[in-house]
Amino acid sequence: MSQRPTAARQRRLGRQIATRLGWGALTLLGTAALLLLLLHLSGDPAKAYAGEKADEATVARIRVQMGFDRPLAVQYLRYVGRALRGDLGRSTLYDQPVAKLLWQRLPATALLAAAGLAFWVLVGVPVGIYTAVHQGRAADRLGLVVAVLSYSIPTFWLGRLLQHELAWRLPWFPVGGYGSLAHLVLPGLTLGLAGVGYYMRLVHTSMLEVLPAEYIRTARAKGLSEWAVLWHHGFRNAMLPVVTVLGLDTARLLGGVVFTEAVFAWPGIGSQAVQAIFNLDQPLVMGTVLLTAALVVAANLVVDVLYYVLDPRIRDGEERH
Amino acid sequence: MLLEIRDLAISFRAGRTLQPAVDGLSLSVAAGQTVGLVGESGCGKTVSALAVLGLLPPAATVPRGSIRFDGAELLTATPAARRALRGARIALIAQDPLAALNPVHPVGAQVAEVIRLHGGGTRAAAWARAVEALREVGLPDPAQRAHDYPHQLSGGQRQRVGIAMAIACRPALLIADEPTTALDVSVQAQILDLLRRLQAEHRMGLLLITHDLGIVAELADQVTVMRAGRVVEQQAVGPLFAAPREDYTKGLLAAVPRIDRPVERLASV
Amino acid sequence: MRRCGRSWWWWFGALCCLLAGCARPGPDWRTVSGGRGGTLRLASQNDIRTLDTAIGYDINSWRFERLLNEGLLGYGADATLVPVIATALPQIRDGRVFTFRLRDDVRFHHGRLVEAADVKYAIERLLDPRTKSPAVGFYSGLVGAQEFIDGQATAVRGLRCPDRLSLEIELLEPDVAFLNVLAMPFSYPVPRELVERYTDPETGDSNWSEHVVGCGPYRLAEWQRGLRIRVEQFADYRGPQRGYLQAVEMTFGIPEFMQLMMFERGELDTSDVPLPDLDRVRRSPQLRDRLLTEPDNAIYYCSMNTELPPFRDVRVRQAFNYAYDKERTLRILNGTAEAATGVLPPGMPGYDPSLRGYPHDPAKARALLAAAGYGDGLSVELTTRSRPREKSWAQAIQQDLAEVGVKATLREVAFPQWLDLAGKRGQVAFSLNAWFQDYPDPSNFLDVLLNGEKITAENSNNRAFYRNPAVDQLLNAARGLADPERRLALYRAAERRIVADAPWIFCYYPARLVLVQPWVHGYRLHPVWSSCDERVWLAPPGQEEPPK
Repeated sequence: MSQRPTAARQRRLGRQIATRLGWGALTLLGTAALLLLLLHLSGDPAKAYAGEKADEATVARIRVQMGFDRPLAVQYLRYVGRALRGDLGRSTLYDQPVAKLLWQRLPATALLAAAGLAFWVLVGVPVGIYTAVHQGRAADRLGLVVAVLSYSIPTFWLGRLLQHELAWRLPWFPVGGYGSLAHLVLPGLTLGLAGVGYYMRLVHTSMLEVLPAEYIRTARAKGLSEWAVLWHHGFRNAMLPVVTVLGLDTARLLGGVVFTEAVFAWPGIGSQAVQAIFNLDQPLVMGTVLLTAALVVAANLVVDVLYYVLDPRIRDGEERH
Repeated sequence: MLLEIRDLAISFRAGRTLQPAVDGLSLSVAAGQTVGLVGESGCGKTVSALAVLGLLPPAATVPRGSIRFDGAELLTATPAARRALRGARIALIAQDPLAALNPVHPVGAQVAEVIRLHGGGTRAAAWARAVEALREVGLPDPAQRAHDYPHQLSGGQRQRVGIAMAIACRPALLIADEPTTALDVSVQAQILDLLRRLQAEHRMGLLLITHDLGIVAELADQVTVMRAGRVVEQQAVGPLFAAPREDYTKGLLAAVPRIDRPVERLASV
Repeated sequence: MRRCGRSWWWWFGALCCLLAGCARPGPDWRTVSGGRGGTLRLASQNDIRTLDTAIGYDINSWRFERLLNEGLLGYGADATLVPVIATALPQIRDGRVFTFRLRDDVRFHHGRLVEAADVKYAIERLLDPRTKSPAVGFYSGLVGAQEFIDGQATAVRGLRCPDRLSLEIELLEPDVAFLNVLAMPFSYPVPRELVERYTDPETGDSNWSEHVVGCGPYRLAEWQRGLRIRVEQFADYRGPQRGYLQAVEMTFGIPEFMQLMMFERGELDTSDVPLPDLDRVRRSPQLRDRLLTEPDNAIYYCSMNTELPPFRDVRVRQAFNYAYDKERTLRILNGTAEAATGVLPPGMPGYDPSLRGYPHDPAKARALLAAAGYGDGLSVELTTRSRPREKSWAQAIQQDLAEVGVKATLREVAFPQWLDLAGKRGQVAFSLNAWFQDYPDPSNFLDVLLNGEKITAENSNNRAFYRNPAVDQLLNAARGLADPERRLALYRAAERRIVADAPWIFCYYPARLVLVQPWVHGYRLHPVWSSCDERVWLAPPGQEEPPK
């Protein structure tokens, strides 16, 4: 108790990260196996590559060249072996290395995801705090309505609506595409609005749990201004569950990105994956899904570390509150 | 007179009706004096303390009465004026030190916060004074422990931090709301000792809120007994224990558990 | 607080105006003068798959492959073959040996002169299994092709370069339509020294597509996958297809409805037309005059598998043709199609305007069904790809058949399953199909789709598994005839027999639609190519003087 066990804490964090990484690797291996099986059952990538018109002999030769003629287990082991060296195979649609295609598209997706995430946090958190503080008043009710709308309107539909109103009827923004800040506004808004309601309510609820806490009263008793009470004592404690959910939500964020990219012709890995699925581009679909899975694993790892930073109790090995 | 409460009434809005919580409380605390406010839980004593601090919940209203601090009326003071008093001139010691301390900030920072707020000065100076305050309340190795988080301290140590936070700005009036209820019996005595010593050193007025007549007997000069929002009995501590006037007070006295006896003996050693 | 809110709105408004200023409402006229220069701004839902001429086999890839490359032969304004990098049409011996002479002034974009060996290399590269070309089938008739594919020969014997600019091509069997294959982008010359630099000799995996260097009127300036492509004029171009535009640009990932929005805002020079918006486009005074419609060399048909019941019986197949109500289908397609009377569409050489096809005659259909023993009704399953357009068409046919007592159930399959099923022998009895020409020659329809000798167990393009020895004989004979009149006469005779045998319901010939801005001139839907951007020129309204 008396001396601060820094080394022990770091060991604990290290162990935790190693465990997470181990599970993450197993998840990825399992995902790859399942995916390969599903894609195998869904059709012949060689036929998709060669097109409907190609003759039997041509398709057979292409199948051999691409290695899709081998037993599934062999394909799996070969895939894993290559993936470990950073080679995710070759897209059948574009006849290019999958890793390169993903790498080319990743910045656009990251930009959009970051914009959406920023919207969730920068709008969701303040509004959530505001409605929590003004619980039961008009602002709170309005916030609730907005939140319910936000998570009940499908992303795809919301995107089309914004596109129609703000790009076509009122030509303020580009209809779609990529290249300037103006292009980011509508997709970012779509993704942001689609998820922000959830965070508004989450922060709201979390804040309502924190506000009656005695340490908030202590802070007030110190003579702190209401703003300082909320910011220094309420906010950080209210953020703990929000951070957890944000980590788990990476998957939802990426899902929203796929729809948003499709609506706004945003050239990210999502719209590329849609093309890949339609064209039965097995390696590209596998690569995209595995990359996404790896991102989700990584996000959860970041949350673990962030939790460690935010909550001193976790550092000493207590359970999450 | 440091604190003068006259005919205070507090009600809570419940739907369309008003539920009275305190009705006609009057008491006064002089500098260096300890006044016990005694009653069962829910009798209105904590609400009264919050009214003095100006921290009543939004649902509460004060239909009548007066609270004067150092001669100035608090109930009509501006929120900013009341904020300036809180922590600086009137301080609170809370019941459960674990709940009352913010789990995500080091205890030193929580003490330094109040020092900086009311005294200004640099972060480093405030930290040094916070360490001093922690030393004053008897936290062992305060320079080191100031970096600890609440969950790393024992219950008694946490309450010492709570007291340090309260006395850091040398308030004239200390409000202690059940300061030992959440603590082990052995620690209770130490904390009471500490309170007594600090009060004497700094000539603070102490409003001691408790359901525990044993503690009142230890510390208080004057006692006010409340029941269901009303004052039942009000007199000096000696006469009250010797000859309670009201049946309710007698009942309370009879209910004092025997286990408090060792506390008296320890305290008198 | 309130003032703060108002100023926020002000900033928001200002930002919107600023951003709106970024969108271009028309072409950048500063780069256009006298009908020359400027950039044609296009958009497409799909990315360009590849610019590798050995692999690309879709409209978008070809559109740009054509601007970047040039072949021995091309097509004139109509569907007739013309020499491009050849000096003239080839000498043809026995319908199977073609001798070309190349021009001596054609350069690749990196400066080297194009030689006959570059065409030979392009075809050999494509036949190499490591290249994974889907077009191998077009060239398997070359002398020595099979040995080369099987790795028993290091060169194709049927491709010979007697000198630097001469190319002799020899086929196993006479086939004059092969000249059309030589006009396909697969046959465009490629510079070996550069291709090999970007290709792994072991696996054949190639990066060439990203670095293509051709000999066409335009060179690749920028290509960002999923984003856009831009080609610009090649200054040293000496050939007959020099364009007027300085550059052609295409933005990817823009679906039809979005193209239309951007077109109406003047951000695109052309747009595809989404079928749901067609009525609005036709009514809109701004849009209706900008709509170009052109019949496509293609046919939509229902194939009836002649090897499976009930379609073994020709009377059933004929009955289905009589039951088919052309008007109903055309109404659904909203004027984007023409009723089919046979196999060959009107734009195809050999199209027979005197062929009447099957009229809508439910009574006759019932009689034929009764004669075939199905007087009490018949149940069939109609297989379609799950696409909205095909669904409504399939439902129309379902209704038509119901009126003659045939109960048709729909079976929609996703694209991967479709690929698996279609063309597999003995699998699908009745399905909706489409065929778009590879080149404008009747053999590309009749031989590929209906010659009984071309049936294979998998991926058979003869989806009706139709085999009539008399028809096969006519088709085989026509293939080697150099005289166009006699050749087309044989194809017409074959087509008549096919229509009588009714292996398909001959449904409709589709049309292509495109919206073109008023400042875009010379834009045509070419009968072979989707578009000929090298013939397009831009001029601001009121200054429409054609370029000299």
